[in-house]
Amino acid sequence: MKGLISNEILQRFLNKETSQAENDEILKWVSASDKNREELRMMHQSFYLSGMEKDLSEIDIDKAWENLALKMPVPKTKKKIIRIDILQKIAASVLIFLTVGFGALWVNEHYFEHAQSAMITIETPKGEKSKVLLPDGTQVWLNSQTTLEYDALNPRKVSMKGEAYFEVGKDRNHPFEVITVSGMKVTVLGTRFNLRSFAADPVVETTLDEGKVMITGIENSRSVFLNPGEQAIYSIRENELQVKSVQTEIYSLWKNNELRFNNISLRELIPRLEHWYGVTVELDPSVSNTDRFTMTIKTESLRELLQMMQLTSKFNYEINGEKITIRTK
Amino acid sequence: MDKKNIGNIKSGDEQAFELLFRKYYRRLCGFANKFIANTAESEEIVQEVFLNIWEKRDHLNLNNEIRPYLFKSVQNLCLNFIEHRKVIDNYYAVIEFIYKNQTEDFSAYESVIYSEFQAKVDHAVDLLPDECRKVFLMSRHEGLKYNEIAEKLGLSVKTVETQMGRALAKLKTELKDYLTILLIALFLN
Repeated sequence: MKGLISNEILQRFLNKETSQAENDEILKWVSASDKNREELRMMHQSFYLSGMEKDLSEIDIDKAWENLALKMPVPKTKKKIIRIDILQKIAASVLIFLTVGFGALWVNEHYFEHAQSAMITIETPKGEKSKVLLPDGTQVWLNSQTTLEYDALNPRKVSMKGEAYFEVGKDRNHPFEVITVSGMKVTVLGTRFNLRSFAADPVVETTLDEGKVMITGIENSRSVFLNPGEQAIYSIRENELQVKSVQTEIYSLWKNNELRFNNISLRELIPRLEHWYGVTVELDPSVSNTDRFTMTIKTESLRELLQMMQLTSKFNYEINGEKITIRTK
Repeated sequence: MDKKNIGNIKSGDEQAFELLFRKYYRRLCGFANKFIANTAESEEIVQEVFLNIWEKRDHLNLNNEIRPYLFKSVQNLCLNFIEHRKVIDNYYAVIEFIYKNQTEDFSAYESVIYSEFQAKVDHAVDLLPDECRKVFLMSRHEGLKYNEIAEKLGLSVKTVETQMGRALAKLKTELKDYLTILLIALFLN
């Protein structure tokens, strides 16, 4: 019997597609030697672990809790008490929000029935930034026009739209997850990274300073690990992930009220200026896009900046409230 | 967090209990699935473990270490389940046999090793030849049966089986070191 069993039958066994007679045959085979037993165990282990993610994705934890709560014998704790407790939690997290610079922020709380979650939404308005400390110790810097949403009861799973820099509190046992508006997900095993995913952007940009993160495309379609110094560009429509090495510091300077560009075109520059200054820029298509800009912005006004750019590039601009128009000269 | 939480659970704090539940539920179901290979049944087992804890919360002596207790309880219930089931379905008799007297480090399932392992699995799957990979993913990620895969891809069931066998043999070789770590980590600690 020893050694005389095909991979196919073992494979079908793992998939629970073998007949009782075949299972008997397999039982005989594994009993024949320790080597066989070890072999099937390894196969089973690979099979089980490789399908675990899918198995777990089928689980609806809210439903499971509801189901269990129904069976729990003790009379329910009065709802009022739970609510107060949650309110305190929220109050505590609100208190520790720090605003950076001139940022104002809005906090909306929603309570779900039975207090299974307490969603908190933080939004930064145009041209302003803020910094948030999550209950698990994670620090998040929010760039202008960014929304961060999380559950106060489960702060290691957040969703984000816009641009944010994360310094994730260490907890080996609980990976930190950020879901972007595109559905792309970043799972954090280490610590510091910048994530940019505005609703209008065709790509999601993840830049890793330190530690290790895993990027997963829509519906777990593909995933990649990033090492420090690397940037992943995820193309939403094509569902494609590209990794390149970059000078990571320049992508997170915004959080220190500094913006630096290294050899980028006008067209690439504009969305970043829009978020930085909280303006809308209209770029006339006839303006040449061949000029490259390298510069650092700290306290310069938009007008100063545009004047500076005019030294090396030919264009006219017009500022009309929050609307800027750039035309050819 | 567990430590303080358990004190609260003992004094009947349902919210503290819910936190514990939410923290471990998925992982425990994943773990149970190894023995049960049926997510719905696994969920029932894990819920039973939690129900037990809640009912016996006054008498629990956990020394503040609830994680090993949870995994151990789930494993025990799974083995009970197998014990009863193996009489009518000898699939479980094989599973029982291959894991008999095996000890595992439960913490491996939630540690960096596990995340690395997942990445390793993804990488190994990426290395598979096209058809082989397609078949494997349809089976393991979409949960399709062999005849469904065969139909979708216009292949014979036999070919699907061959490809799956090939994929798994390859994975097993690629992952050998990790599988060993997962199985014996306990003895090293």
